[in-house]
Amino acid sequence: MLACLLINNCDDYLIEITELLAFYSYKWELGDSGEVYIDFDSIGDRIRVLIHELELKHQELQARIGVAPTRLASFAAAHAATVEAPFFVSPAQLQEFLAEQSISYLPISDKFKERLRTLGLQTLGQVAHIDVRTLVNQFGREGQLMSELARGIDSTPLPPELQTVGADESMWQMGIWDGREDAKTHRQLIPINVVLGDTGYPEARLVDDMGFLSCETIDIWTIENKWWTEQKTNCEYYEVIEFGAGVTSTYCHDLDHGKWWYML
Amino acid sequence: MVVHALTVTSMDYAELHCHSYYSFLDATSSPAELVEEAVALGLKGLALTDADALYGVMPFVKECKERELPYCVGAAITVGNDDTESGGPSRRLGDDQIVLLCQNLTGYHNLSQLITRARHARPKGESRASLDEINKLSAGLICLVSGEGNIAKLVLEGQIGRASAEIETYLEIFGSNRLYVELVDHREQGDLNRCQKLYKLANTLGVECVATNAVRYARQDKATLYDVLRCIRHKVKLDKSEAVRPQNHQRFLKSPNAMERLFAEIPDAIRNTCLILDQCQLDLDFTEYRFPDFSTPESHSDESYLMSLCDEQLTRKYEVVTVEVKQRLKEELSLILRLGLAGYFLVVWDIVAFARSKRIPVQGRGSAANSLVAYLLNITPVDPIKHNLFFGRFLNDEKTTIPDIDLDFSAARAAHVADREDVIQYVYEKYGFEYVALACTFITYRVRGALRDVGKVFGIPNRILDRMARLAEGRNVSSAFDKIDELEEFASYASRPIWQHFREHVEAIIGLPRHLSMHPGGMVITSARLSTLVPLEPARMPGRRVCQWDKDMVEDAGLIKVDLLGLGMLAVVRETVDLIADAHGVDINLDAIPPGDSKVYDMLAVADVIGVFQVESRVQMSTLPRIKPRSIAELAIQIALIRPGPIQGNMVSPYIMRRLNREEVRYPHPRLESILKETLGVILFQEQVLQVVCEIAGYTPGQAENLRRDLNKTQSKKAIDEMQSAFVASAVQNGVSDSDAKEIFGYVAGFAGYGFCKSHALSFAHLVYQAAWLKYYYPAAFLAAVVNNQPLGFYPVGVLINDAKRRSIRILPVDVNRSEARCTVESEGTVRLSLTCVKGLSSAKAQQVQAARGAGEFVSMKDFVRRTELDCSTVERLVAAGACDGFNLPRRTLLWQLWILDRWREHNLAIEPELASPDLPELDAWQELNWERAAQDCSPRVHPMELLRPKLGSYVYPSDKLKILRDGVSVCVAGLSICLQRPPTAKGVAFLVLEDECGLLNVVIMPNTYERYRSVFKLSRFMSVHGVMQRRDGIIHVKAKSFARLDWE
Repeated sequence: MLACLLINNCDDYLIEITELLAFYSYKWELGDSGEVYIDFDSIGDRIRVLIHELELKHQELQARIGVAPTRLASFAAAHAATVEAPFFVSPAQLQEFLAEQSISYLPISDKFKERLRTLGLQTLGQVAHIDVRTLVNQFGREGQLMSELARGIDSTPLPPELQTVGADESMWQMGIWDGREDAKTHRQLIPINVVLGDTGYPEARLVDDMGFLSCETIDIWTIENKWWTEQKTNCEYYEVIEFGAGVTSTYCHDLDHGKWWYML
Repeated sequence: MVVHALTVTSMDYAELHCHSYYSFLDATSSPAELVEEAVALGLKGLALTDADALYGVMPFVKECKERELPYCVGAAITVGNDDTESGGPSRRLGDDQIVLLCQNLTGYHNLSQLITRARHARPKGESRASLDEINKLSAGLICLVSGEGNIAKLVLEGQIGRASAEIETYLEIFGSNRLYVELVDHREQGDLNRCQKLYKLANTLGVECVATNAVRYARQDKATLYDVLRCIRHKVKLDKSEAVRPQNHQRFLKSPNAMERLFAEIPDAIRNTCLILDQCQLDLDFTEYRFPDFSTPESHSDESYLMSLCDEQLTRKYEVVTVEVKQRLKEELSLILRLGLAGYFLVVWDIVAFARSKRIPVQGRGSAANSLVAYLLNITPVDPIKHNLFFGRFLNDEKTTIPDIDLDFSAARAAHVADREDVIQYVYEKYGFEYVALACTFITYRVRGALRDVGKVFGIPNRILDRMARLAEGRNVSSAFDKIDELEEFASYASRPIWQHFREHVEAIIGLPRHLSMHPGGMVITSARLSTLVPLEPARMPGRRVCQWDKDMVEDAGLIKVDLLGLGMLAVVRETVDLIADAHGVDINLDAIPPGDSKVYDMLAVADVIGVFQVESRVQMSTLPRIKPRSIAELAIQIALIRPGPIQGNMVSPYIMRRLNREEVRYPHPRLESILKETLGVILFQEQVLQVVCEIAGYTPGQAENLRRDLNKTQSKKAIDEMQSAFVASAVQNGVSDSDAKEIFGYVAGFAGYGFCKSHALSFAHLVYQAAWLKYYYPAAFLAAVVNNQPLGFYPVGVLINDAKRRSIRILPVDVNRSEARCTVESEGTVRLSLTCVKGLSSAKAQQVQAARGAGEFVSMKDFVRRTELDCSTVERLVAAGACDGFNLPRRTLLWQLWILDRWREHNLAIEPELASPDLPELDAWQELNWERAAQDCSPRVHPMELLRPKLGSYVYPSDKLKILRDGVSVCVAGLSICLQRPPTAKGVAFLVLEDECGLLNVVIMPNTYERYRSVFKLSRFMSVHGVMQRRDGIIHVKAKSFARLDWE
């Protein structure tokens, strides 16, 4: 179970809040909307102590708590909670609870949220009723995400773990868009790390010589916008990713350098 | 550095580098404010040096002359190499700015040409002069280099060699007697150091220095406004504006003492300002260039050719040429020739002749229609003899300015028809691009624009600014700010300390010019190369050039313009005739339609006039049933009646009462009976004002016209009293009693507001009659033409459509397989809406659809998207509007397919897309309506009030049921807000037009109610109104007591 804490003015007291969270648990993370997720199974009722401690330090701070089996459900539950009364959603209640929640809780782009509304799909229940393939066809990988989340499937670990991914020289080919570039330059090994970004989507980061993550990021997606499905270890130094059935290649776009790559 | 002994004697100082607010968003003060301050400070003189422009020169010179302040005309010129053609950035870092001051008329002509060339072939607003051009056009100009420009930067960086080389370049062009190094000290970091180094360098090169303050505002209290303007110009918020605004607030006009203290060590720099000023002697009067040369046939002069044209037409226009006609023509021609206006008339005649040869509808408007010569030349359609029009209003011996002849052309804007544009291009070709330009207009800040621009600088969210803009009224800033904190949505912002600053700066920015635009049609044509008189610059519209003066400045310079205006109703009439020919096979000759069709006048009498030019406004509609015009002349009175002049002169009610025989016709004086007989004893037309003044006070037409103009301009009670004294004295001498004279002057002065000339009203009345005739006999074609020529008139398309539906016209929705680029008449009484009715669907896109449809009807969304290649958002709107309903799929399913197809298209995928959609909720009626209104501003299927009606109580009356209610009963109505007016002449009373499914209804809002419920009717579209029924002569109003927002909006 996960607890979601909606704390007012979270940004103003971010350091103190994170220090406090780190004291109580190593399984927590900050969300995009100023919310905090924490592993409820490990912290249990101590979460009340945590809140009490926060409120003692800063009387104007108020927190609403939602507890549910998934991140999205706990977020929605926190919105349904009051400062005085946390909102609990048991695994048995999960489907029923989610079905009534607004699609605005989905961690997808505003454009897609607007499209869902235009199509008359206002609740997660309506989304859950649509075949995943149909959703992926319309929304790409975000379609898969919304389908899973609406049905209460969320296996994202807390906190998200880094998965080292890469490819050896033989696996990378020069992209068709920059064929005039010096091939040698582009055939060298490009080590990348794939991490889950803030929005829950994968993003790739270059790794420097010392093995540290660079600030430069690479968006990765498949030609059909399929979501990543599984990971396998496939070479000596790096984990290599595979994609959904039937997908044979992926394109990588290095946003910072404007270069395109594809992987066979 | 040479150190001079400090002197305490006061020196003369002239400011030679000064920007007015015509340097758009780079200065805050008007030329008049600058001159006023310069006089107050005791400056020896002032130069106006706006950036790459002479926009402000005419008002500046006029003000200087009035205040007897020596002046100098110049400009700050951006200098740089031309690299736009090579695709480089349009403004490079290396660009510099120099100040050029005109020594004489030669210098002025050169400066004007230099600016024209610097702006030529560049995007609107950009300018850069090359050194080569400056070299060619340097005669008569004095140059101030550096100031805060490139040379100053080089000097500060220690690159003395490069700085010397730059100055020497200018030295070669201007010589040492016309080149000065400008020293500017705003007490900013580095200023003193820069001045010292520049002074030293100038001494080395043998160049004199001159001090300026590079002024951007007259007084220091405008400094923060300047900061805000800089932020607007550079699109940054105030808290991020350090890089774009000055470090301090020192760029104001400084007194000689203050400047002397600043440059105490360099007194020559102060002294030189006056030496330069003395060298600049310039008077701007271009009267001699005002008429273009008209190429007459060989044997003719302008005069003889004009006379021969008139003679030729005389017998065509009049079956019997009476002595009166001959005498009138003789008098007019005599005056025209005496004033040297023959060429002017020929130019206008030529333009009209061109338009007629191309079947472009045209008619003269304004006072020109008082002229028999204009009538004979086909410039106007109104016979001045038949309608007894007073020529003195148009032209008389004492006229100090030449009157414009305004021409209205069809404003058709369709891809295949561009009537007025064709005429404009003809004028360019005939007289040459160098001799013709459109007058400009200066777009100044009003409240809404000010709120948006200043609000962004202060970091107020756009959503809040948009809502505030809806509350704003005209130029009244208070309307947007007062009591705003009482509204919940604004409260959190209005309580912030910055809010007061926001308001102050909105108030301060009102009236400042923001950018340049084109006059709707005022073309200046001259005999001299126009670019030597005023700089010309490209407009954003291809093929157009504008001069840097607006119409008043053009007039002040002694030039004349011909107004080539676009009149939408001419285009409507023309298109209606074409549509009738297409749909009915009937060829209508509008000149031959029966002039007194009683059915048409019956329609006008019941105010069934939506879409009809000039008489469709709320007030016109409420007076039509009372006046019931039955002829063109009465229609002209109807049109002229509802104008500020007659309203302020309290003429409206007496006329209506006399028309209804409820009041006896009375003349202010027996001698005025013949003048005021047709208007039942009240003054409605400008001509009558002049005739009354001539008759009572014995003034000449010229004196009377001057009195009318003076009354129009002044608001000073003292000045009006003086005019009255003179008038009364003359009238008494003329045998009129003192009391009668005073009463009559009251009527004349009351008319000071805007009113129509009778000739102008008659021109319009002809057009109104034609439009009404077409609406009565061919309502479907008329509706299609009106919709095709939007924006036009008083009402949005939705109101026009609803009105047509009530007249049993069938409106067919937009359909990608049926609609064309313009609305069409499909069958008797049936109009098909055009593709362009959908927002964002231009004529070009509509033609794209039509072209793709040429290969056969579209059968599916996939087929449509692939063949038309329209962008996704346009197709979304077509779907929302119901234009793709013919594909027999729900609109949501169509969107589902569209988005998949769009992604496939974006990625250029060869694989067939899977378009199967899930079961999506159906649109309910309200959603469908909202989609349609969002896509095309109206729904041809259903009126929103039809859907809302079941939710309203039975006590809420539809508009068509009001007629069964008694006068004075309490009533509740509801509807969609169509238009809200609060005319200045109505003493705070506002008029709201609501529309429900049954028609329009008028709501009168008294001042107290207005203030109390302003936020409801300003911020809501649907509302209910409680009030009292008022019924007068068949006109129904609801006098509002309270308003309520309809919740389900």
